[in-house]
Amino acid sequence: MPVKVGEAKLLKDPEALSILILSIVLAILPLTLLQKPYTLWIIIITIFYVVLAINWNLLLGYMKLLSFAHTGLIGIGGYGSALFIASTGLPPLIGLLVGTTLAAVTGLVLGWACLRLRGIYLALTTWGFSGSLQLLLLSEYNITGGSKGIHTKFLLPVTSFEAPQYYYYIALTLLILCMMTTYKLIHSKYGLYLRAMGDDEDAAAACGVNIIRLRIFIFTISSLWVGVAGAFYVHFLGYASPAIADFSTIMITVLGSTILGGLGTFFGPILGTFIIWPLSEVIRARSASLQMIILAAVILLSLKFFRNGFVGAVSSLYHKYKDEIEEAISRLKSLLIRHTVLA
Amino acid sequence: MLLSADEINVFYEKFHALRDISLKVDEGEFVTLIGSNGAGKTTTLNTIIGLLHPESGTITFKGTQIESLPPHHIVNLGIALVPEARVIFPQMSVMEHILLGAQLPRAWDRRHETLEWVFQLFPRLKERKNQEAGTLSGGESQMLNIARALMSRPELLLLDEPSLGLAPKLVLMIFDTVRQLHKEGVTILLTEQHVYHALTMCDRAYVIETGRVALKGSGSELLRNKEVKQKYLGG
Repeated sequence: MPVKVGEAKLLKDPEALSILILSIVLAILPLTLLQKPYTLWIIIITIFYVVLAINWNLLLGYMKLLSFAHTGLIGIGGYGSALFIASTGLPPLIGLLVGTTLAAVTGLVLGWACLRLRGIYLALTTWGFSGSLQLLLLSEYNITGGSKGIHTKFLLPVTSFEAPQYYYYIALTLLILCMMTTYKLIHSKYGLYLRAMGDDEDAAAACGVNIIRLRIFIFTISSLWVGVAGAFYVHFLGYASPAIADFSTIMITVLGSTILGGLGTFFGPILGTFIIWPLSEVIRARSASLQMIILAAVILLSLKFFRNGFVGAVSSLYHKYKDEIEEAISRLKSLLIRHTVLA
Repeated sequence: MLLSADEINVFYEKFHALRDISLKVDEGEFVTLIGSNGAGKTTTLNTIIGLLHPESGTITFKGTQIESLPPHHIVNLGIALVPEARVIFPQMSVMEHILLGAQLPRAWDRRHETLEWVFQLFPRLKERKNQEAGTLSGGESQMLNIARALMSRPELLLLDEPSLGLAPKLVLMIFDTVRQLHKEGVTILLTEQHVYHALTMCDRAYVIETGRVALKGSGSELLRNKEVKQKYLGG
Protein backbone atom coordinates (compact mmCIF):
# COMPACT_ATOMS: atom_id res chain seq x y z
CA MET A 1 0.00 0.00 0.00
CA PRO A 2 2.20 2.84 -1.14
CA VAL A 3 1.27 6.26 0.11
CA LYS A 4 2.19 9.00 -2.24
CA VAL A 5 3.69 11.42 0.19
CA GLY A 6 7.15 12.89 0.29
CA GLU A 7 8.07 11.73 -3.19
CA ALA A 8 9.52 15.13 -3.82
CA LYS A 9 12.47 15.87 -6.03
CA LEU A 10 15.78 15.31 -4.33
CA LEU A 11 16.74 18.96 -4.33
CA LYS A 12 13.46 20.02 -2.78
CA ASP A 13 13.74 17.41 -0.09
CA PRO A 14 16.19 18.58 2.59
CA GLU A 15 16.18 15.20 4.34
CA ALA A 16 17.17 13.17 1.28
CA LEU A 17 19.66 15.85 0.34
CA SER A 18 21.24 15.75 3.78
CA ILE A 19 21.65 11.97 3.59
CA LEU A 20 23.35 12.32 0.22
CA ILE A 21 25.69 15.12 1.26
CA LEU A 22 26.67 13.48 4.52
CA SER A 23 27.34 10.16 2.77
CA ILE A 24 29.57 11.80 0.17
CA VAL A 25 31.48 13.83 2.75
CA LEU A 26 32.06 10.80 4.95
CA ALA A 27 33.02 8.66 1.96
CA ILE A 28 35.80 10.98 0.82
CA LEU A 29 36.91 12.06 4.27
CA PRO A 30 39.54 9.30 4.79
CA LEU A 31 41.09 10.12 1.42
CA THR A 32 41.79 13.67 2.50
CA LEU A 33 43.43 15.29 5.44
CA LEU A 34 41.83 13.14 8.11
CA GLN A 35 43.78 9.97 7.47
CA LYS A 36 45.06 9.54 10.99
CA PRO A 37 43.83 6.23 12.47
CA TYR A 38 42.82 8.08 15.63
CA THR A 39 40.48 10.35 13.66
CA LEU A 40 39.00 7.40 11.81
CA TRP A 41 38.39 5.67 15.12
CA ILE A 42 36.56 8.66 16.49
CA ILE A 43 34.37 8.86 13.41
CA ILE A 44 33.60 5.14 13.56
CA ILE A 45 32.49 5.50 17.18
CA THR A 46 30.53 8.61 16.23
CA ILE A 47 28.74 6.56 13.58
CA PHE A 48 27.92 3.97 16.25
CA TYR A 49 26.30 6.73 18.29
CA VAL A 50 24.53 8.19 15.25
CA VAL A 51 22.80 4.87 14.61
CA LEU A 52 21.73 4.77 18.25
CA ALA A 53 20.51 8.36 18.17
CA ILE A 54 18.53 7.89 14.95
CA ASN A 55 16.74 4.94 16.49
CA TRP A 56 16.19 6.61 19.82
CA ASN A 57 14.75 9.65 18.09
CA LEU A 58 12.34 7.33 16.30
CA LEU A 59 10.91 6.50 19.72
CA LEU A 60 11.03 9.80 21.59
CA GLY A 61 11.03 12.21 18.68
CA TYR A 62 8.34 10.67 16.54
CA MET A 63 6.30 8.56 18.95
CA LYS A 64 6.86 10.53 22.19
CA LEU A 65 7.92 7.33 23.91
CA LEU A 66 10.71 7.68 26.45
CA SER A 67 12.61 4.41 26.43
CA PHE A 68 15.93 3.57 28.08
CA ALA A 69 16.12 0.09 26.60
CA HIS A 70 18.86 1.01 24.14
CA THR A 71 21.83 0.31 26.40
CA GLY A 72 20.45 -3.11 27.28
CA LEU A 73 19.83 -3.86 23.62
CA ILE A 74 23.41 -2.91 22.72
CA GLY A 75 24.49 -5.46 25.31
CA ILE A 76 22.20 -8.09 23.83
CA GLY A 77 23.45 -7.44 20.29
CA GLY A 78 27.11 -7.24 21.27
CA TYR A 79 27.36 -10.06 23.80
CA GLY A 80 24.89 -12.15 21.81
CA SER A 81 27.18 -12.07 18.83
CA ALA A 82 30.40 -12.53 20.79
CA LEU A 83 29.08 -15.48 22.82
CA PHE A 84 27.51 -17.08 19.78
CA ILE A 85 30.71 -17.16 17.73
CA ALA A 86 32.72 -18.24 20.78
CA SER A 87 30.53 -21.28 21.26
CA THR A 88 29.99 -22.22 17.62
CA GLY A 89 33.21 -21.08 16.00
CA LEU A 90 31.27 -19.48 13.15
CA PRO A 91 32.57 -16.25 11.56
CA PRO A 92 31.72 -12.88 13.18
CA LEU A 93 29.49 -11.92 10.28
CA ILE A 94 27.08 -14.70 11.27
CA GLY A 95 27.46 -13.55 14.87
CA LEU A 96 26.46 -10.06 13.81
CA LEU A 97 23.29 -11.42 12.24
CA VAL A 98 22.54 -13.54 15.31
CA GLY A 99 23.18 -10.61 17.70
CA THR A 100 20.94 -8.38 15.60
CA THR A 101 18.16 -10.95 15.54
CA LEU A 102 18.45 -11.45 19.30
CA ALA A 103 18.16 -7.71 19.88
CA ALA A 104 15.15 -7.45 17.56
CA VAL A 105 13.42 -10.37 19.27
CA THR A 106 14.19 -8.88 22.68
CA GLY A 107 12.75 -5.59 21.43
CA LEU A 108 9.65 -7.38 20.22
CA VAL A 109 9.10 -9.17 23.54
CA LEU A 110 9.93 -6.09 25.60
CA GLY A 111 7.66 -4.01 23.39
CA TRP A 112 4.85 -6.50 23.66
CA ALA A 113 5.23 -6.54 27.43
CA CYS A 114 5.56 -2.87 28.21
CA LEU A 115 4.40 -0.68 25.33
CA ARG A 116 0.96 -0.56 26.83
CA LEU A 117 2.54 1.62 29.47
CA ARG A 118 3.02 5.31 28.89
CA GLY A 119 5.27 8.10 30.01
CA ILE A 120 7.23 7.53 33.15
CA TYR A 121 6.21 3.88 33.48
CA LEU A 122 7.74 2.94 30.17
CA ALA A 123 10.89 4.87 31.05
CA LEU A 124 11.17 3.05 34.40
CA THR A 125 10.51 -0.40 32.98
CA THR A 126 13.05 -0.03 30.20
CA TRP A 127 15.54 1.48 32.61
CA GLY A 128 15.02 -1.59 34.78
CA PHE A 129 15.67 -3.80 31.76
CA SER A 130 18.94 -2.05 30.89
CA GLY A 131 20.01 -1.97 34.52
CA SER A 132 19.39 -5.67 35.10
CA LEU A 133 21.17 -6.60 31.90
CA GLN A 134 24.19 -4.58 32.99
CA LEU A 135 24.18 -6.38 36.36
CA LEU A 136 23.85 -9.71 34.60
CA LEU A 137 26.86 -8.93 32.43
CA LEU A 138 28.86 -8.02 35.53
CA SER A 139 27.82 -10.92 37.70
CA GLU A 140 27.68 -13.93 35.35
CA TYR A 141 31.43 -14.18 35.46
CA ASN A 142 31.62 -17.65 33.90
CA ILE A 143 29.81 -16.62 30.78
CA THR A 144 30.43 -12.91 30.32
CA GLY A 145 33.78 -12.54 32.01
CA GLY A 146 32.33 -10.05 34.48
CA SER A 147 33.81 -6.58 34.47
CA LYS A 148 36.80 -7.81 32.48
CA GLY A 149 34.56 -8.71 29.57
CA ILE A 150 35.48 -11.22 26.88
CA HIS A 151 37.73 -11.08 23.86
CA THR A 152 36.12 -11.86 20.56
CA LYS A 153 37.10 -12.02 16.92
CA PHE A 154 37.36 -8.92 14.78
CA LEU A 155 34.81 -8.56 12.04
CA LEU A 156 37.49 -8.79 9.35
CA PRO A 157 40.62 -10.93 9.18
CA VAL A 158 42.62 -7.75 9.90
CA THR A 159 42.11 -5.94 13.18
CA SER A 160 40.75 -2.44 13.45
CA PHE A 161 44.13 -1.30 14.80
CA GLU A 162 45.90 -2.44 11.67
CA ALA A 163 43.32 -1.31 9.11
CA PRO A 164 40.80 1.14 10.58
CA GLN A 165 39.86 2.35 7.09
CA TYR A 166 38.14 -0.97 6.26
CA TYR A 167 36.11 -0.77 9.43
CA TYR A 168 35.38 2.83 8.65
CA TYR A 169 33.77 1.91 5.35
CA ILE A 170 31.77 -0.92 6.90
CA ALA A 171 30.47 1.49 9.54
CA LEU A 172 29.67 4.03 6.86
CA THR A 173 27.76 1.42 4.84
CA LEU A 174 25.74 0.50 7.91
CA LEU A 175 25.07 4.17 8.62
CA ILE A 176 23.86 4.84 5.07
CA LEU A 177 21.63 1.76 5.22
CA CYS A 178 20.23 2.88 8.55
CA MET A 179 19.58 6.43 7.32
CA MET A 180 17.93 5.18 4.15
CA THR A 181 15.64 2.66 5.84
CA THR A 182 14.66 5.23 8.45
CA TYR A 183 13.98 7.77 5.72
CA LYS A 184 11.85 5.23 3.87
CA LEU A 185 10.05 4.33 7.07
CA ILE A 186 9.07 7.84 8.02
CA HIS A 187 7.91 8.56 4.49
CA SER A 188 5.79 5.43 4.31
CA LYS A 189 2.29 4.99 5.61
CA TYR A 190 3.86 4.03 8.93
CA GLY A 191 5.48 7.43 9.02
CA LEU A 192 2.08 8.98 8.54
CA TYR A 193 0.77 6.90 11.45
CA LEU A 194 3.81 7.85 13.53
CA ARG A 195 3.31 11.55 13.05
CA ALA A 196 -0.41 11.21 13.68
CA MET A 197 0.25 9.31 16.88
CA GLY A 198 2.85 11.80 18.05
CA ASP A 199 0.37 14.65 17.61
CA ASP A 200 -2.71 13.09 19.15
CA GLU A 201 -2.86 9.46 20.10
CA ASP A 202 -6.61 9.24 20.59
CA ALA A 203 -7.37 10.99 17.33
CA ALA A 204 -4.95 8.68 15.52
CA ALA A 205 -6.68 5.67 17.06
CA ALA A 206 -10.03 7.08 16.01
CA CYS A 207 -8.66 7.26 12.45
CA GLY A 208 -8.09 3.54 12.66
CA VAL A 209 -4.40 3.42 13.58
CA ASN A 210 -3.61 0.35 15.68
CA ILE A 211 -1.54 2.21 18.26
CA ILE A 212 -0.12 -0.74 20.20
CA ARG A 213 0.87 -2.68 17.11
CA LEU A 214 2.48 0.38 15.55
CA ARG A 215 4.47 1.01 18.72
CA ILE A 216 5.66 -2.57 18.90
CA PHE A 217 6.58 -2.54 15.21
CA ILE A 218 8.64 0.65 15.44
CA PHE A 219 10.18 -0.44 18.74
CA THR A 220 11.28 -3.70 17.12
CA ILE A 221 12.81 -1.93 14.12
CA SER A 222 14.60 0.42 16.48
CA SER A 223 15.89 -2.51 18.58
CA LEU A 224 17.10 -4.25 15.45
CA TRP A 225 19.33 -1.33 14.49
CA VAL A 226 20.59 -0.97 18.03
CA GLY A 227 21.50 -4.65 17.87
CA VAL A 228 23.41 -4.09 14.62
CA ALA A 229 25.28 -1.20 16.24
CA GLY A 230 26.09 -3.24 19.36
CA ALA A 231 27.31 -6.28 17.46
CA PHE A 232 29.39 -4.18 15.05
CA TYR A 233 30.93 -2.26 17.94
CA VAL A 234 32.02 -5.44 19.70
CA HIS A 235 33.66 -6.89 16.60
CA PHE A 236 35.23 -3.55 15.83
CA LEU A 237 36.87 -3.43 19.26
CA GLY A 238 37.49 -7.19 19.27
CA TYR A 239 36.28 -7.10 22.80
CA ALA A 240 32.97 -7.09 24.65
CA SER A 241 32.87 -5.40 28.03
CA PRO A 242 30.02 -4.17 30.22
CA ALA A 243 31.13 -0.66 29.29
CA ILE A 244 29.38 -1.03 25.92
CA ALA A 245 26.10 -1.22 27.80
CA ASP A 246 27.00 1.52 30.24
CA PHE A 247 23.94 3.54 30.96
CA SER A 248 25.37 6.93 31.76
CA THR A 249 27.89 7.35 28.95
CA ILE A 250 25.71 5.95 26.22
CA MET A 251 22.33 7.24 27.22
CA ILE A 252 23.60 10.74 28.06
CA THR A 253 25.44 10.96 24.75
CA VAL A 254 22.44 9.75 22.76
CA LEU A 255 20.03 11.95 24.67
CA GLY A 256 22.26 15.02 24.44
CA SER A 257 22.94 14.57 20.73
CA THR A 258 19.31 14.08 19.84
CA ILE A 259 18.11 17.05 21.83
CA LEU A 260 20.91 19.31 20.62
CA GLY A 261 20.34 18.31 17.00
CA GLY A 262 16.57 18.46 17.11
CA LEU A 263 14.14 15.96 18.54
CA GLY A 264 11.61 14.66 16.05
CA THR A 265 13.52 15.89 13.03
CA PHE A 266 15.17 13.49 10.66
CA PHE A 267 18.61 15.08 10.51
CA GLY A 268 18.69 16.33 14.12
CA PRO A 269 20.13 13.26 15.84
CA ILE A 270 22.69 12.79 13.05
CA LEU A 271 23.95 16.35 13.24
CA GLY A 272 23.79 16.41 17.03
CA THR A 273 25.95 13.32 17.38
CA PHE A 274 28.53 14.62 14.92
CA ILE A 275 28.85 17.65 17.17
CA ILE A 276 28.64 16.03 20.59
CA TRP A 277 30.77 12.92 20.31
CA PRO A 278 33.91 14.35 18.68
CA LEU A 279 33.61 17.28 21.07
CA SER A 280 33.37 15.04 24.09
CA GLU A 281 36.35 13.01 22.84
CA VAL A 282 38.39 16.17 22.67
CA ILE A 283 37.30 17.15 26.16
CA ARG A 284 37.97 13.69 27.52
CA ALA A 285 41.50 13.82 26.19
CA ARG A 286 42.02 16.70 28.61
CA SER A 287 39.85 15.80 31.54
CA ALA A 288 37.57 12.81 31.85
CA SER A 289 35.50 14.24 34.67
CA LEU A 290 34.81 17.37 32.70
CA GLN A 291 33.20 15.36 29.90
CA MET A 292 29.93 14.60 31.67
CA ILE A 293 29.67 18.08 33.16
CA ILE A 294 30.01 19.73 29.77
CA LEU A 295 27.60 17.28 28.15
CA ALA A 296 25.01 17.96 30.82
CA ALA A 297 25.50 21.71 30.40
CA VAL A 298 25.02 21.41 26.63
CA ILE A 299 21.77 19.49 27.15
CA LEU A 300 20.44 21.99 29.67
CA LEU A 301 21.39 25.00 27.58
CA SER A 302 19.86 23.64 24.41
CA LEU A 303 16.68 22.75 26.30
CA LYS A 304 16.58 26.27 27.64
CA PHE A 305 17.42 28.22 24.50
CA PHE A 306 16.48 26.12 21.55
CA ARG A 307 13.92 23.52 22.31
CA ASN A 308 13.80 22.18 18.79
CA GLY A 309 17.53 21.82 18.49
CA PHE A 310 19.76 23.02 15.68
CA VAL A 311 17.62 21.62 12.92
CA GLY A 312 14.48 23.10 14.46
CA ALA A 313 16.15 26.49 14.90
CA VAL A 314 17.47 26.54 11.35
CA SER A 315 14.14 25.53 9.85
CA SER A 316 12.19 28.11 11.85
CA LEU A 317 14.73 30.75 10.82
CA TYR A 318 14.28 29.65 7.23
CA HIS A 319 10.51 29.88 7.49
CA LYS A 320 10.78 33.30 9.07
CA TYR A 321 12.99 34.72 6.33
CA LYS A 322 11.76 32.46 3.54
CA ASP A 323 10.89 35.31 1.16
CA GLU A 324 14.13 37.18 1.80
CA ILE A 325 16.19 34.04 1.26
CA GLU A 326 14.41 33.13 -1.94
CA GLU A 327 14.79 36.66 -3.21
CA ALA A 328 18.50 36.66 -2.38
CA ILE A 329 18.96 33.35 -4.18
CA SER A 330 17.19 34.53 -7.30
CA ARG A 331 19.19 37.77 -7.27
CA LEU A 332 22.39 35.77 -6.91
CA LYS A 333 21.35 33.58 -9.81
CA SER A 334 20.64 36.48 -12.11
CA LEU A 335 23.93 38.07 -11.08
CA LEU A 336 25.80 34.88 -11.91
CA ILE A 337 24.04 34.59 -15.24
CA ARG A 338 24.85 38.20 -16.12
CA HIS A 339 28.50 37.65 -15.24
CA THR A 340 28.83 34.46 -17.22
CA VAL A 341 27.14 36.13 -20.17
CA LEU A 342 29.48 39.10 -19.94
CA ALA A 343 32.49 36.88 -19.56
CA MET B 1 -31.05 -1.22 14.52
CA LEU B 2 -27.63 0.11 13.49
CA LEU B 3 -26.24 1.04 16.89
CA SER B 4 -27.57 0.36 20.31
CA ALA B 5 -26.00 1.08 23.67
CA ASP B 6 -27.59 -0.56 26.69
CA GLU B 7 -27.07 0.77 30.18
CA ILE B 8 -23.42 1.65 29.78
CA ASN B 9 -21.43 2.88 32.74
CA VAL B 10 -18.14 4.64 32.15
CA PHE B 11 -15.62 5.79 34.75
CA TYR B 12 -12.62 8.09 34.61
CA GLU B 13 -10.67 6.53 37.48
CA LYS B 14 -13.23 7.00 40.27
CA PHE B 15 -15.39 9.57 38.55
CA HIS B 16 -18.61 8.03 37.32
CA ALA B 17 -19.02 9.80 33.95
CA LEU B 18 -21.83 7.86 32.27
CA ARG B 19 -24.59 6.30 34.35
CA ASP B 20 -26.73 3.64 32.70
CA ILE B 21 -26.88 5.43 29.39
CA SER B 22 -28.98 3.68 26.77
CA LEU B 23 -29.45 4.94 23.26
CA LYS B 24 -30.34 3.64 19.85
CA VAL B 25 -29.62 4.81 16.33
CA ASP B 26 -31.47 3.34 13.38
CA GLU B 27 -30.05 3.08 9.91
CA GLY B 28 -30.43 6.37 8.06
CA GLU B 29 -31.40 8.30 11.17
CA PHE B 30 -30.09 11.64 12.36
CA VAL B 31 -29.76 11.55 16.13
CA THR B 32 -28.50 14.33 18.39
CA LEU B 33 -27.14 14.36 21.91
CA ILE B 34 -27.65 17.64 23.68
CA GLY B 35 -26.60 18.73 27.11
CA SER B 36 -24.38 21.24 28.85
CA ASN B 37 -20.60 21.10 29.20
CA GLY B 38 -19.43 18.10 31.16
CA ALA B 39 -22.73 16.26 30.83
CA GLY B 40 -21.05 13.31 29.14
CA LYS B 41 -21.69 13.86 25.44
CA THR B 42 -18.06 13.55 24.35
CA THR B 43 -17.56 10.61 26.71
CA THR B 44 -20.48 8.84 25.06
CA LEU B 45 -18.99 9.25 21.59
CA ASN B 46 -15.51 8.26 22.77
CA THR B 47 -16.98 5.13 24.31
CA ILE B 48 -18.77 4.19 21.11
CA ILE B 49 -15.60 4.55 19.04
CA GLY B 50 -13.65 2.48 21.59
CA LEU B 51 -11.31 5.08 23.09
CA LEU B 52 -12.99 4.35 26.42
CA HIS B 53 -14.48 1.08 27.55
CA PRO B 54 -17.55 0.80 29.76
CA GLU B 55 -17.38 -0.96 33.13
CA SER B 56 -20.76 -2.47 32.45
CA GLY B 57 -23.36 -2.47 29.71
CA THR B 58 -23.15 -3.42 26.06
CA ILE B 59 -22.80 -1.60 22.77
CA THR B 60 -23.89 -3.36 19.60
CA PHE B 61 -23.19 -2.20 16.06
CA LYS B 62 -24.80 -4.10 13.19
CA GLY B 63 -25.22 -7.09 15.46
CA THR B 64 -21.59 -7.14 16.65
CA GLN B 65 -20.80 -6.44 20.26
CA ILE B 66 -18.16 -3.69 20.19
CA GLU B 67 -17.79 -2.31 23.72
CA SER B 68 -14.48 -4.04 24.36
CA LEU B 69 -12.97 -3.74 20.87
CA PRO B 70 -10.06 -1.36 20.15
CA PRO B 71 -10.81 1.74 18.02
CA HIS B 72 -9.14 0.54 14.82
CA HIS B 73 -11.44 -2.47 14.84
CA ILE B 74 -14.51 -0.36 15.35
CA VAL B 75 -13.52 2.09 12.61
CA ASN B 76 -13.12 -0.84 10.27
CA LEU B 77 -16.65 -1.98 11.09
CA GLY B 78 -17.97 1.32 9.79
CA ILE B 79 -18.04 3.97 12.53
CA ALA B 80 -16.04 7.18 12.26
CA LEU B 81 -15.52 10.00 14.72
CA VAL B 82 -14.98 13.69 14.04
CA PRO B 83 -13.33 14.70 17.33
CA GLU B 84 -13.87 17.95 19.11
CA ALA B 85 -10.29 19.17 18.76
CA ARG B 86 -9.92 21.56 15.88
CA VAL B 87 -6.59 21.04 14.14
CA ILE B 88 -5.54 17.54 14.99
CA PHE B 89 -2.34 16.93 13.08
CA PRO B 90 -1.07 20.46 12.36
CA GLN B 91 2.07 19.49 10.48
CA MET B 92 0.46 17.15 8.00
CA SER B 93 -0.68 18.37 4.65
CA VAL B 94 -4.37 18.33 3.85
CA MET B 95 -3.83 15.39 1.52
CA GLU B 96 -1.92 13.39 4.14
CA HIS B 97 -4.72 14.02 6.61
CA ILE B 98 -7.25 12.72 4.17
CA LEU B 99 -5.19 9.65 3.25
CA LEU B 100 -4.75 8.86 6.93
CA GLY B 101 -8.49 8.45 7.12
CA ALA B 102 -8.50 5.83 4.40
CA GLN B 103 -5.88 3.43 5.74
CA LEU B 104 -8.12 0.62 6.87
CA PRO B 105 -8.90 -2.29 4.55
CA ARG B 106 -12.57 -1.36 4.24
CA ALA B 107 -11.71 2.06 2.85
CA TRP B 108 -8.38 1.70 1.07
CA ASP B 109 -9.56 0.08 -2.15
CA ARG B 110 -12.24 2.69 -2.65
CA ARG B 111 -10.09 5.65 -1.72
CA HIS B 112 -10.05 7.30 -5.16
CA GLU B 113 -13.78 7.15 -5.45
CA THR B 114 -14.20 8.42 -1.86
CA LEU B 115 -11.72 11.19 -2.46
CA GLU B 116 -13.71 12.44 -5.42
CA TRP B 117 -16.86 12.46 -3.32
CA VAL B 118 -15.13 14.29 -0.46
CA PHE B 119 -13.62 16.91 -2.78
CA GLN B 120 -17.03 17.42 -4.30
CA LEU B 121 -18.41 18.08 -0.83
CA PHE B 122 -15.52 20.35 0.08
CA PRO B 123 -14.04 21.98 -3.01
CA ARG B 124 -12.01 24.26 -0.73
CA LEU B 125 -9.98 21.30 0.46
CA LYS B 126 -9.14 20.36 -3.10
CA GLU B 127 -7.71 23.83 -3.66
CA ARG B 128 -5.60 23.49 -0.54
CA LYS B 129 -4.61 19.87 -0.72
CA ASN B 130 -0.87 20.54 -0.41
CA GLN B 131 -1.17 23.07 2.37
CA GLU B 132 -0.19 22.27 5.95
CA ALA B 133 -3.29 21.58 8.03
CA GLY B 134 -2.10 23.98 10.74
CA THR B 135 -2.45 26.91 8.35
CA LEU B 136 -6.13 26.34 7.54
CA SER B 137 -8.87 28.60 8.87
CA GLY B 138 -11.30 27.39 11.51
CA GLY B 139 -14.02 26.45 9.06
CA GLU B 140 -11.59 24.75 6.71
CA SER B 141 -10.06 22.64 9.45
CA GLN B 142 -13.49 21.48 10.51
CA MET B 143 -14.18 20.51 6.89
CA LEU B 144 -10.89 18.64 6.91
CA ASN B 145 -11.86 16.77 10.08
CA ILE B 146 -15.12 15.70 8.52
CA ALA B 147 -13.39 14.79 5.26
CA ARG B 148 -10.89 12.62 7.08
CA ALA B 149 -13.64 10.78 8.89
CA LEU B 150 -15.57 10.27 5.64
CA MET B 151 -12.54 8.70 4.00
CA SER B 152 -13.10 5.58 6.10
CA ARG B 153 -16.52 5.15 4.42
CA PRO B 154 -18.50 5.15 7.66
CA GLU B 155 -22.06 3.96 7.91
CA LEU B 156 -22.34 5.81 11.18
CA LEU B 157 -20.67 9.18 11.56
CA LEU B 158 -20.12 10.53 15.06
CA LEU B 159 -19.68 14.29 15.15
CA ASP B 160 -18.48 15.90 18.38
CA GLU B 161 -19.61 19.52 18.46
CA PRO B 162 -18.56 20.37 14.92
CA SER B 163 -19.68 23.96 15.34
CA LEU B 164 -17.61 24.69 18.45
CA GLY B 165 -15.88 28.05 18.24
CA LEU B 166 -16.92 28.79 14.66
CA ALA B 167 -18.39 32.07 13.42
CA PRO B 168 -22.21 31.99 13.01
CA LYS B 169 -21.99 31.85 9.22
CA LEU B 170 -19.63 28.90 9.34
CA VAL B 171 -21.81 27.14 11.91
CA LEU B 172 -24.65 27.21 9.39
CA MET B 173 -22.36 25.98 6.66
CA ILE B 174 -21.20 23.02 8.75
CA PHE B 175 -24.80 22.19 9.59
CA ASP B 176 -25.68 22.30 5.90
CA THR B 177 -22.89 19.86 5.22
CA VAL B 178 -24.07 17.51 7.94
CA ARG B 179 -27.59 17.67 6.57
CA GLN B 180 -26.33 16.89 3.10
CA LEU B 181 -24.33 13.92 4.35
CA HIS B 182 -27.45 12.63 6.01
CA LYS B 183 -29.35 13.06 2.78
CA GLU B 184 -26.68 11.03 0.98
CA GLY B 185 -27.33 8.13 3.31
CA VAL B 186 -24.83 8.51 6.16
CA THR B 187 -26.33 7.85 9.56
CA ILE B 188 -25.47 10.69 11.94
CA LEU B 189 -24.96 10.88 15.69
CA LEU B 190 -24.17 14.48 16.59
CA THR B 191 -23.44 16.26 19.86
CA GLU B 192 -24.24 19.93 19.87
CA GLN B 193 -24.52 22.98 22.05
CA HIS B 194 -26.49 24.91 19.44
CA VAL B 195 -29.57 23.18 20.77
CA TYR B 196 -32.13 24.92 18.59
CA HIS B 197 -30.39 24.14 15.30
CA ALA B 198 -29.63 20.62 16.35
CA LEU B 199 -33.20 19.87 17.34
CA THR B 200 -34.62 21.29 14.11
CA MET B 201 -32.29 19.20 11.98
CA CYS B 202 -32.45 15.86 13.72
CA ASP B 203 -34.96 13.03 13.71
CA ARG B 204 -34.53 12.19 17.36
CA ALA B 205 -32.58 13.53 20.29
CA TYR B 206 -31.38 12.60 23.76
CA VAL B 207 -30.87 15.15 26.49
CA ILE B 208 -27.95 14.17 28.69
CA GLU B 209 -27.52 15.59 32.19
CA THR B 210 -24.74 14.60 34.59
CA GLY B 211 -24.11 11.36 32.80
CA ARG B 212 -27.72 10.20 32.49
CA VAL B 213 -30.30 10.33 29.76
CA ALA B 214 -32.71 12.92 31.17
CA LEU B 215 -35.10 13.13 28.25
CA LYS B 216 -35.55 11.67 24.83
CA GLY B 217 -37.89 12.14 21.93
CA SER B 218 -38.20 13.46 18.42
CA GLY B 219 -36.62 16.80 17.62
CA SER B 220 -39.91 18.66 17.38
CA GLU B 221 -41.19 17.10 20.60
CA LEU B 222 -38.16 18.26 22.50
CA LEU B 223 -38.33 21.71 20.94
CA ARG B 224 -41.75 22.10 22.52
CA ASN B 225 -40.74 20.55 25.81
CA LYS B 226 -40.92 23.02 28.70
CA GLU B 227 -37.82 21.79 30.47
CA VAL B 228 -35.74 21.88 27.32
CA LYS B 229 -36.99 25.38 26.57
CA GLN B 230 -36.08 26.55 30.02
CA LYS B 231 -32.67 24.97 30.28
CA TYR B 232 -31.31 25.10 26.75
CA LEU B 233 -33.30 27.53 24.70
CA GLY B 234 -33.36 30.47 27.10
CA GLY B 235 -37.02 30.63 27.92
